[in-house]
Amino acid sequence: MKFLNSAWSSFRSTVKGFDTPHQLALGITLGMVIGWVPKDSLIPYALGVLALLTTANLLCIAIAAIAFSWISPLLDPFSHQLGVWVLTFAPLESTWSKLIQLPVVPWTRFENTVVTGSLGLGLLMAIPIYSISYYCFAKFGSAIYFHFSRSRVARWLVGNNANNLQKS
Amino acid sequence: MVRWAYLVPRIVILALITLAVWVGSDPLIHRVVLSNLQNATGAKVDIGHLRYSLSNQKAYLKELAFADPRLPMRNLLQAEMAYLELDADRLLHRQVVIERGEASRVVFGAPRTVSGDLPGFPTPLELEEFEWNPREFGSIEEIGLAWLDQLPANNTTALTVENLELVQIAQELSGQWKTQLRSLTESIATLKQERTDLSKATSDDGNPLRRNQVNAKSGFEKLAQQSKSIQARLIDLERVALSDRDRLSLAFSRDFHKVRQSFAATSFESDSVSKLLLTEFQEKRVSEIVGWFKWFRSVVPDPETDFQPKRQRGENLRLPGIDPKPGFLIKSIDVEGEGRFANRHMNFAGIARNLTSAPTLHDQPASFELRAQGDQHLIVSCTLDRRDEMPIDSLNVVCPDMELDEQLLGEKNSMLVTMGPANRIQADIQINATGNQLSGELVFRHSNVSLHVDKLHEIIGGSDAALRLNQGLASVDRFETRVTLSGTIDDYDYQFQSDLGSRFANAANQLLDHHREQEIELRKNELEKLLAKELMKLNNEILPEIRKLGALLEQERVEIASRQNSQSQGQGRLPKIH
Repeated sequence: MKFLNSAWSSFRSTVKGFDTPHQLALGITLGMVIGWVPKDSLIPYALGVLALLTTANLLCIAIAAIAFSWISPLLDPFSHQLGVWVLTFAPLESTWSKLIQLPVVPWTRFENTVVTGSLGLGLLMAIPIYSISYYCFAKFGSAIYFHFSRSRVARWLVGNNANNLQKS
Repeated sequence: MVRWAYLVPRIVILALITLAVWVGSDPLIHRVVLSNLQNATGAKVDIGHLRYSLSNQKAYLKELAFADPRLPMRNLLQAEMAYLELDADRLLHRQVVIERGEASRVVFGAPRTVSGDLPGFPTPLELEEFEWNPREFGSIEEIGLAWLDQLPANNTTALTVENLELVQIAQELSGQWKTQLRSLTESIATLKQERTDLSKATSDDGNPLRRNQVNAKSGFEKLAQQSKSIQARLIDLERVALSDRDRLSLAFSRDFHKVRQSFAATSFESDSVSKLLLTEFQEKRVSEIVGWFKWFRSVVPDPETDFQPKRQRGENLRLPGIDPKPGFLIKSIDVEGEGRFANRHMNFAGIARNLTSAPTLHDQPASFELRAQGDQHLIVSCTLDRRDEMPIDSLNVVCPDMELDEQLLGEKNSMLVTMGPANRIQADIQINATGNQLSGELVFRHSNVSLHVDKLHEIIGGSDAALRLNQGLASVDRFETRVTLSGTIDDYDYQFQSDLGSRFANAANQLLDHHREQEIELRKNELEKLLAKELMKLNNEILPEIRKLGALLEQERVEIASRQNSQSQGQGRLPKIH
């Protein structure tokens, strides 16, 4: 029980801790990549597990993943074009062929143009998204904190004492 | 230094995910399987319960139902339970390969209470519910008429006693002889009367002067001449009588020949008999079997055309050096269940092989080997090869033993035959379809057959001949028919050959030949009797009568000659004057 209590406290702390702009921006970036890739592939789930291993903010990951999942189909034409280009890129063709013969890898469905394209697009967009998010969190972090600390979610997570929320 | 504030929640989340996967693997797999199957078929799939063992790669499914993507209110198939063994290695390569499975209480084409349409999927294909209707039969009446036309005309009815030459000659001769004999009799009687009168006139009456010697002499000479003439007629008549005997014998020969011809052999020609008796029966059988084949094709959807999978995002590119494999493959599954087959309820059990969602990517065609037990026992093996653009299907149905109801063969206006109810049939059916082009051979072996001719046209003897035929047909206890199919599946044609015609014709022809010979013998006896009677009449009545008349004439001639002699002697002497 003690362990569970400690675990719950730690989980809350990831939220109330209001991590550094880097952690928040990283969360947004990872969430963006996860959200962008179609969910019938193993890639977003693998990325999700990987994200857990980072110091990225979990809430940002979740929010970004959901948000970009909605946007993702709108960008399918671009993802498809990019996927075709990547998969038919001659120097990599033999690599793809070898990869797909490995166990579990076929579950990633990377031979699908949109899966590879959206992953590529996500990776290409990672640095701009990270930079923009970082800038935004650094500049507007206090305002966001202020609004967030008054929200029901924050009260549910850390109770009525807003001082429990740490300032970054 | 370990930052527990970050690590612990992540470990907790991972632990929770692992726990969720562990505890909720069945619901998760349930959902994943449903989603994948629905995406693949384009119609609703229901799985009541699913349990999957990760350790031994075995899945157990209960209350499984696949909606028909073409007919949303009907299930393509449903099974009460299924037990599947998956290939773990192929599963890691994103291929669901069922090495072996069992599905029990499988039902094809069961109705659904709710539509099998899936929202967001393309509209189900327009497909009219398959209804099997037998093809319109050709006109059996025309076949009956054609059969009658090819039979040799039998003139026995035209051959009457009055038409026999022997009878006509006998009648003619009878009249002639009567007339001629009467005429001769009268001539002889007249001769006799005249001789008597002349004798009286020339006899002694005591007055020789009153005798006219010259007249008497000439009178007797005249009588002698007459008698000669009558004798010539008699000789002539005797000769005519003898020639009449020959004439009668010749007439007999001609009449006998005529009788033989009139009883021309009523030859039952094998092919035409088969055609008459079996066309309607075979038409029904062939129509029924082609209906089965159509039904079979309609029940098994073509994954390439009938399924409407959900449109996926992007395209799956074929990577160089990689042969694409079907995502879903059942290598072998034992099935047991029930269904309607050609409008008949059947229980079946058997094995299905190489069922796949992408037949073009698999190296073997789908095949079924089923034993169906219902009103009939059937062994069905079917191959559906959809690997190329042109579908190649083959259906082999073996029906080891089936009892047929009473059947009416033939046609009521020519020949109608009843095939008794106890007859059994063994069928061996092989149908192939390449695209819509149909070919195949259907062999039906009938045994324990009992045939009874109910109606037979008068031209071949009517009910009497039918009665005789029925005695001969007892020997026809089996026959075989081979049907060759051609054309297209919707407009098929067929030819058949059967030994029923030859068996029937042999039995009938033997019997009718025997009867014909009997009839000819009977007529011959009648003719011989008639000939004997007429000859006897000639020999025993006419010729003796002629001879009798000849004797009478001879007597008269002697009388006339003696009178002439006495006249000549009297003329040399002068009468004595007293």
